[in-house]
Amino acid sequence: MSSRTLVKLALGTIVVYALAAWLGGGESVAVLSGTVPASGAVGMALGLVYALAYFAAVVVSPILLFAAAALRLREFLLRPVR
Amino acid sequence: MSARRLSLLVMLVGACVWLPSLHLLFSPKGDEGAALLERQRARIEDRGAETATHDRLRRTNPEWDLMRRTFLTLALLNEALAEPTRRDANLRLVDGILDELLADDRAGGPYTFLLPYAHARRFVFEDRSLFVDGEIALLLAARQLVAPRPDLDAELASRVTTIERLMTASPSVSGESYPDEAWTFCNTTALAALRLSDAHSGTHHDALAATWLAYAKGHLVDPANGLLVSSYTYDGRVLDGPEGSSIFMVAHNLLLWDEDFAKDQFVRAKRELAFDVLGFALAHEWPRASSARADVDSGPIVPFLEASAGASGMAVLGAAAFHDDALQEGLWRSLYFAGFPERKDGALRFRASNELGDAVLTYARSFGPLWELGKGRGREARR
Repeated sequence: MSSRTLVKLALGTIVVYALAAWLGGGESVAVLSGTVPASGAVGMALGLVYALAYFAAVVVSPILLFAAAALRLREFLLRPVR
Repeated sequence: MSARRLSLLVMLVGACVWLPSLHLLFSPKGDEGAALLERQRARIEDRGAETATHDRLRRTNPEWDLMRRTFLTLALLNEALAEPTRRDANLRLVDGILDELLADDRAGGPYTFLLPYAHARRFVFEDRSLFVDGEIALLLAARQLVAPRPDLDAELASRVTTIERLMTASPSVSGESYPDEAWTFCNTTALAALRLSDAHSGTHHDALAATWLAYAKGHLVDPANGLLVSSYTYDGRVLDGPEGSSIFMVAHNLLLWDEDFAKDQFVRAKRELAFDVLGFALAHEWPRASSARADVDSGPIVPFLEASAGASGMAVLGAAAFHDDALQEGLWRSLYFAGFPERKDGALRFRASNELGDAVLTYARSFGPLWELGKGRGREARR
């Protein structure tokens, strides 16, 4: 997996989180405590997507970005001498 | 080394650095009690918001509507005791909650705050729920203990008499919360109400409490782990074993009657149910050996970790009541990480929670003054 792919994955996760937040997922995230949102099944689904995207953005994305930076650094250090 | 293996190795190194450090970003600030109460105070004062809160909670579980009022009232009264400048304002709010609660109970009857299955059969002893009478009595007694309101004395006396009648008539020394279902949570809450009522009025329910405790220690302790079970039939046949959403509240209630047994229950509950993942503390709903499944009390169970929102929330109360700072810190870190906190104008709420969850957390942060009064040291302090 290239550093570029890792960055795309990390940013993609953050974009999904931002999109779910923009759609109002934050107001339905009480589904995590078993509370039925006023918006019903759609709200429940949106709340779950919002929560999963948040956890991915906070837990996984930094690891992907770290890996991308490390791979990029390695490429830089091992570049052919001209 | 192939590019694929190399990227996996680098990600593994990244995970080893990032995951153990993550909890450092989610430290509690120490002002959560006041900030949570600020948010809920604003909602109580806004009639529309308050009605919406009742509807929202009742849509999932009518019990939550009563329990939220209970924990919120206890938190307001604790703050009234701890901060004299807040006393009058908080008592006004408490009176509003109490008057509305008594009106709702009178208008709707004993089933107002019960799940629909309560209608499936008849109560064995009497058409009353100790869940409802116990929590209302607790609020009345707490209100009277902080600052007596003469017009509430008759209502408190009536609820206390009801609790005595429901518990003493039962072969398990326990009132039913639902038909032929007695709950340890509700019976110990009723006992807490009696203790606060005693501290207010000078009466004594030591014999009833001692009888219940003797029965519970003899019949309601799970031999596998020494924890009190959650529910049993009217005549004492165990229905549900120990549960995280129940036992931490039970231990907190028992502090008023039997401190050693209460501490023993908390220590066992912590050992069986609480756990730590990378600096974040959580709680299981059931002991490890149990095969029980998610229900309305546990809330959804987090896959892989088997953590329960209900148990973790009540563990915050247990940790506060038993001054377990390390567990409290870990649980609050989890709340900041996975509870989706929202701070606005000095007010705090957790969006992954609901108004009941926030009320439990508020009460946990304020815990102390009322229970100290209840243990008998309060009558002097009140003078």
